[in-house]
Amino acid sequence: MNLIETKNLVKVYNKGKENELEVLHGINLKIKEGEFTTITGPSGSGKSTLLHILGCLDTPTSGKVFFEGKDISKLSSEQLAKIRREKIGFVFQQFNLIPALTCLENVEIALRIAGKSKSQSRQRAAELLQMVGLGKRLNHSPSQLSGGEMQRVAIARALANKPKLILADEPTGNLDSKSGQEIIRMMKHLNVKGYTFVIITHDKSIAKVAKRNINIKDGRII
Amino acid sequence: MIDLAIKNILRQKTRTIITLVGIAIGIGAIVSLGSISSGLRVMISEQLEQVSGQITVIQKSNAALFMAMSESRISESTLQEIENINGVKEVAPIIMKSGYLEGTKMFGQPNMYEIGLDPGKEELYAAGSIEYEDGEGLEEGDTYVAVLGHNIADSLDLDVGDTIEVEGTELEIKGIIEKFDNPAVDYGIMIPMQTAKELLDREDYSIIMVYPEDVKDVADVADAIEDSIDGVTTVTTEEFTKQIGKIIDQIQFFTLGIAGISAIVGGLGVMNTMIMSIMERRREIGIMKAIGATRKFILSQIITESIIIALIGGIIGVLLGSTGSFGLRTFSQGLASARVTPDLIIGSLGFAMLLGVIGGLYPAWKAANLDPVQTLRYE
Repeated sequence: MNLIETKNLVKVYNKGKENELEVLHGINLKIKEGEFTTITGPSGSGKSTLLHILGCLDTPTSGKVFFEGKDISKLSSEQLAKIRREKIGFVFQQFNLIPALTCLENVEIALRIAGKSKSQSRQRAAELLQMVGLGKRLNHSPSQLSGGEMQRVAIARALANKPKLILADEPTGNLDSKSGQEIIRMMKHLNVKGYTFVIITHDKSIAKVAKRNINIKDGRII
Repeated sequence: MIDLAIKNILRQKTRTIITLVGIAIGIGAIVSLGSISSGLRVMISEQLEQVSGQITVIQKSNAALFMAMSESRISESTLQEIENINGVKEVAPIIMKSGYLEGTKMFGQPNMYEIGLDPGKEELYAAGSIEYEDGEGLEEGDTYVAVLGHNIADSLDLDVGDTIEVEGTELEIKGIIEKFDNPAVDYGIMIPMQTAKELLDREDYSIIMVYPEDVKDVADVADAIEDSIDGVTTVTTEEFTKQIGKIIDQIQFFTLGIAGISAIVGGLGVMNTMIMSIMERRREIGIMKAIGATRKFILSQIITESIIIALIGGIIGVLLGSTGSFGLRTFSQGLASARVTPDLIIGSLGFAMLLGVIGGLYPAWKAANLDPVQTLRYE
C-alpha cells in the first residue's frame, strides 16, 4: 500500500504578487510503507518544500497529497497537526531540541502534545532514550551533548508516538562523519524494524544504504 | 501542562518577579482599600442597629449629612414644638462639640465629644443601657461635673474624683461609663445641659433626639415633625443607614477604582512579559507545532503561564493587603475596623486571574498562529 502519494503537486509562494515563485511544478510520487528513500538535489531545487508538504507542515497550492490513501491537501492546520503528532516523526539538520528542557523532557513533550499522561510520557521517553543509547543522559540539557547525541535525542523524539513515517532533512549535515555513520546505522536499523524513512541528504553514505533515490531539480523529479 | 508552565516561568526569574510585583501591588491595594470600606460599613451598621426606633432632628441644611450634624442649631422654642407633636413620647436635646484630645490628634475621626445633655438622659443619648464602671451618672441639679466615656478616662488615666478641663474650666469627674463600643459614648464627656450652655456660651441645641410612643410609628412621627416645623429635618435610622451606605459606596467606588487601575497596569505587565517570552521562544514554539502541537495546546500553554504569574502575584497581593489592613487596624486603635472578608479575597484572586487570562490572550494567540515552517527555516 502507498503510504504517501502525490498527484501533480504544485507549490507557489507569494501567489499573485510581484515576487511570485513557483517552487514545485507538478510532482508525482509514491512512497510505499517500509521504504527507505532519499531525496537529493541542489539547494533551491524545492526538496525541502516537498518534504514539508509530505510532512503536513505545509499545504500544496494545487494538486493532491494522499496519506494512507486519504486526501490531506485540503485539511485544516489543526487536522494536519493531528496527523503530524500521530503518524509522522521529524529529524532536522539543526536537531531542533528545546534548549530549556532536558533530554527526557524533549522526548516527553512529544508525548504530552499527543495527550499522554505525565507518568506514561516519562516512562516511554526514558525507554526511547535508553534505546538510542542515552539512558545515562536523561537529565542533561541539550547544550551538554555532542551533535551526534542531540540527533539521537531527536530520533527518540521522532519515535515517541510510533509514527508511520519519519522525515529527515539533512540529518547528518551538522555531524562529523563518525556521528553521521551512527545516525545512519540507527535509521537503517529502525527501517528494518518497519519504519518508513524519507530523507533529504547530500550525504553519499546515506544514498548508499537507500533503496531508492528521488532526484529533484528546479522543482521537478528527474 | 502546569509543570511545563512553571518551568517556563522560572526561566527568566527577574522578569517574572518584576511582573509578580506589579500584580501584587495592584491586588494588595484592592484588598487593603476594600477591607477598609467594608470594615467601615460593618462598623456603622452595627452601631446603627443599636439605635433603631429613634428620630434625630437636625437643622435643615443643603450640606451633606455629616456637615449638618456638627453645625446644626435648634432653638429652645423648636424643642418645645417638637415635644407637643402627637406621638412623641420623649425628647432629648443634645449639645455636641467634637474635637481631639490634646496630644492624641490623629487623622480622620474626632476622638473627643463634649456632650451637653439633661441629667438622666444619658441612655437616651447612647440609645442603649449604660453601666458605670465607677461612680454614677448625672443627676438633676448637678453643675460643673462630668461623666466620661471609657476610652477618654482610659487614655487620660482619670478616675472618679479627678478633674478634667473642658473649655478652660475644671469639672469634677462623677462617673466613668463602661466600654459601650460606640465612639460617641466611649469618647464622650457628658456634662449637665446647664453647665454645657454656660461653658459653650449658647442657648440652643445641636440636635434633638425624639422617641415615638410606638417604635413602628417612627416614619409617621418623623413626617409630622418635618411638616409642622420649619427649618428642621429628621433622620431616622433607616434613612441614615441608606445615606451612609451611599457615601460608603462612593468611597468604595473611588478607592477600588484607583486600586483597579493599578491592578490593570499590573495586567499590562503580564502581557508585556508574555509577549517578550514568546518572542524569545518563537523557535521552540515552532518546534512544538512541527511535532504536532495544536493551536489549542500552545494557546492554553501560554495562558496557563500568564494565569500562574497573575495568580501568584495575586496571592502575594492578598497577603500584602491583609498585612496592610491589619497594620492600619492596629495603629488606629480599632477606629478603622478594616476587615479582609473571604469575599474580598476570592474577588481579588478572581480579578488577578482575569488579568492573567486577558494579559495572556494576545501573546498566546500570536504564539498559536506561528507558522512552524517559517520559524524553523529562518531563525
